Amino acid sequence: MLKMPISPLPFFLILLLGTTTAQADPKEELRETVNSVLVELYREVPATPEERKATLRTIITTRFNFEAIARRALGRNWNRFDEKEQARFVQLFTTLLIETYADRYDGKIRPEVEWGDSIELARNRMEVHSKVILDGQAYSVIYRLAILENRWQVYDVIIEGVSLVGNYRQQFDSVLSNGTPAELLQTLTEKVQ
Amino acid sequence: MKTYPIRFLGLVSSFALLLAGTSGCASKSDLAPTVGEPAAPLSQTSNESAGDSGDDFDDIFGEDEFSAGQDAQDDPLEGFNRVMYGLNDFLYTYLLRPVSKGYDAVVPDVAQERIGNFFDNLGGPVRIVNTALQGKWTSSGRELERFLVNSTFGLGGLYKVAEPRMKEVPPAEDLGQTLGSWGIGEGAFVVWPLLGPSTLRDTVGRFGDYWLDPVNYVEQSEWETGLKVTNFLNQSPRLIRNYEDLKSAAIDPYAAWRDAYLKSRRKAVEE
Repeated sequence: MLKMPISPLPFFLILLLGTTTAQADPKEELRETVNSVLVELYREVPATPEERKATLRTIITTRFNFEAIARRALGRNWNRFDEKEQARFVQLFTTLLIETYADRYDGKIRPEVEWGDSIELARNRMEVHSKVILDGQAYSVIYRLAILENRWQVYDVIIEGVSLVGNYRQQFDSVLSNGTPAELLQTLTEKVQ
Repeated sequence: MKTYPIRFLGLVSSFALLLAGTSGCASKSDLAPTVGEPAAPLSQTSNESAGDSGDDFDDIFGEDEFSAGQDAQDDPLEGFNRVMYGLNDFLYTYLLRPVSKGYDAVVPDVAQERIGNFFDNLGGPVRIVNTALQGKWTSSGRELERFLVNSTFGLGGLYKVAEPRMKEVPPAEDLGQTLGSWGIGEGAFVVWPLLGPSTLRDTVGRFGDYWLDPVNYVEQSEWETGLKVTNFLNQSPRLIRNYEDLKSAAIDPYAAWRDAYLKSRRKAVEE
């Protein structure tokens, strides 16, 4: 398509992406995922922190594509990382997003989620709107999905106008304007420990 | 205000709430059809070389909304801002945090909620005037109704009695948003000591709104100061918690905060 792929796998993926459309209703799948996350967070008998992290990771990684999230968060800086660094970055960033969130969480009141419209952004991209109501306040939460690995997966979440990917892009840009990929990986490693 | 933790959606939610906390009012949002960055036009043609890595990723995202040049945040005061951010971080961590913990431990949740309601109600005039200045007559009427009903039947605003009967509580409006809706640009991003993030436009707005805050018309200055301190303290547990959430997830907390402030304010101006 763009360049001759070195390995046959990406080429195969492109073929798949071009020819298939995900069968399941992406909004319904997303709704189930969000619901499972809430169920786990509001369990009557809370799991141990390790169990909770593992469970959340399983639930979230089935619907969220962390490689796309990580890569878009790096933007044009992605190409400054070699293949090994890229893999390490995706791994660390995924852990940061899932674990900080699982760690710091201590909710009492379960929020209500109201699902809104699904809007097609392109042939293979869409967004699902939702409102999260917590303590009488409504917060706008928009999920952006794309067909990745032959199914609809989340590649960004926009909360009250603030894009998760965009927010981290600002941070990584700032760190990488004076620093190296190795330094960023070091900072991330310290952060997730 | 109730000590409700807001972490269920991951840490980005904290950004929005942190801002809501600093401005003393959480915005209530509708589902606007386009929020956040405008959807980027997708390059449908597969032979278009969108990036330099040339795989399915570029095929899907192409020149996305964060493409080169568009994502650079203009921040002429960055040097000053980072120093102020550092100062605020220090004050939050070593001064406000311990005081706030003490307050949170001593004052029961229900009292914090009533106090929060009281000060939220005092924000009524700002919201009534600014919704009107933006020509949002329905919202302005609702704000007026809230203010009148809560001030009387809600015992001076301690109880929120108007809201449950409303179909929708309008999003909070302030002068910064009004100026924005009139087409005035946000100006440079600036971090003020103690007050936190703002823009030049929002700073002007804050001064304007000052005249609509009933607390500033309290005769005895000791009472005025007391009320202001109480309001600030009462918001502080939530503020500190949200700030710590943001910090724990951030690689560059200053950049994270700046982005969150600017984006959520832009959204607030749009709606």
